[in-house]
Amino acid sequence: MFSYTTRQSLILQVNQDALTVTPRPSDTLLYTLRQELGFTGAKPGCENGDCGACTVIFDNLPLKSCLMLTAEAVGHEITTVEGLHHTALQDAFMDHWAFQCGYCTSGFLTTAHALLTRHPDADRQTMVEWLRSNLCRCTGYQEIGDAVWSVLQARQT
Amino acid sequence: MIPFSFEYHRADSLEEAALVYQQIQASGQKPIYYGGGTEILTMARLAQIHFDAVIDIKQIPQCQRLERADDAIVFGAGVSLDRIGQANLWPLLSQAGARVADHSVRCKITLGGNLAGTLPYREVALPFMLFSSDAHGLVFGPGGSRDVPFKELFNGQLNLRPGEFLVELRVAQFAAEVPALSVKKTRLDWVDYPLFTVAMVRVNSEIRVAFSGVTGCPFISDAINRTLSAAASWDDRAQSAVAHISDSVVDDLHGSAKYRRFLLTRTLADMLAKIEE
Ligand SMILES: Cc1cc2nc3c(=O)[nH]c(=O)nc-3n(C[C@H](O)[C@H](O)[C@H](O)COP(=O)(O)OP(=O)(O)OC[C@H]3O[C@@H](n4cnc5c(N)ncnc54)[C@H](O)[C@@H]3O)c2cc1C
Ligand code: FES
Ligand code: FES
Repeated sequence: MFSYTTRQSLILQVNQDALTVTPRPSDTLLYTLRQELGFTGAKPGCENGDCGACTVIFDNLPLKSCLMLTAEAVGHEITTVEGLHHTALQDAFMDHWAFQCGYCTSGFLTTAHALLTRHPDADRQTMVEWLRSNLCRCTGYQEIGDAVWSVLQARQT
Repeated sequence: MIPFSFEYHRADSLEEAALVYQQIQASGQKPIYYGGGTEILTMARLAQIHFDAVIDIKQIPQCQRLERADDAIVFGAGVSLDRIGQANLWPLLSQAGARVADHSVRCKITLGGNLAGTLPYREVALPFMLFSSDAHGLVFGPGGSRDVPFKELFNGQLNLRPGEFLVELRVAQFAAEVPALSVKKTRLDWVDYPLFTVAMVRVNSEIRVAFSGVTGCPFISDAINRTLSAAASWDDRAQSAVAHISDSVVDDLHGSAKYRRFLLTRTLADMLAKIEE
């Protein structure tokens, strides 16, 4: 049994570092990442599981960090957008003009990065299904889909 | 940010979960079981629910089962809808689960949470409702474990005794071998709560359907199943089936009751055509 009943020290594995945090047991991972660790790439949008702006990679899966408690994340690998450095995906987002205001971008990057890791052979339909987890209020989604698809195709040929 | 404090307990065994539940309750506080936590956290943030402790049950080995065993398929209550889809042991359940929320949220929503949640849709219950005589649930609580026929366990909502939680659901293997379809209609977006969801199977010449989103909670009706199994055209059977549904069809911003009835009639006719082809 792991019990976390009051504010104490916890170790989180974020972007391949073991980091100490002292959250309330009721703090979400999103809150801790931003307020305690300064990983502001995870964005608060709806905080309701709808928009995907808060998405991080959690053991190779995309996860909305507003829907997880910090204490629940102990013992798992978390990657925020700050953990992605000069990836082909980030270049593709620039090449395809896949953002405007950029608020949704870190969520799309983490979702797409998890897709590339888990399904490097994904077809367009699988890609669309994964990207549907994220909302963008500026672009028409076409540019985002094209950016991710270009990286998938490059890897598949 | 969640505006109140509560304790987090992650149980490693069924006994531990039930024991800590009882201890917290005995101290005058309110515990709740925690699956994916998606509903609990979103409602807590809005202060729509209040509790003093969550007991996370999803990592208990029995709640993580996902396998064929004897002539049945076993689904642990703590398994995420994404994992159920990946394993695809029961294509109908995978299909129904694949339309709940979006992919990232499905990596967190659990089977048990979807059935036990307060939101009325509970879409992954539909496949089990179609085989309620051949499906069972295992529940655990202060009195130990109980094996409950699905018919008793779920009648639109999960019926558990105080302090109990769902451990797993089992369905006979043959359920995965009959022709089956699941169709979800939404108002506009692909990802949304349903206008309605219909799951349909054909067992020999018998048609069975279960509905979510049509009335206040998921339902199945013998009268509707008899009507859909009768010898008549697809359109006539679909019309008669929808005529059997009471006046309590949902009428909301997503769609009027009249529109739901119209679309449901078309959908049932199309599904009959497909499943009887
Ligand atoms: C963004 C979003 C979109 C959604 N879209 C859909 C949709 O399209 N269709 C649909 O059907 N639903 C949808 N839902 C609802 C969702 O399926 C339910 O809210 C479900 O309860 C969430 O599962 P969970 O595992 O996260 O549950 P939790 O939040 O962990 O728990 C919800 C409730 O179930 C209880 N519970 C959890 N596990 C068990 C168990 N094993 N035994 C007994 N009680 C248990 C908890 O105590 C709590 O009361 C959506 C939810 C979200 C957040
Ligand atoms: S902030 Fe988490 S999904 Fe919108
Ligand atoms: S670029 Fe502004 S929300 Fe997507």
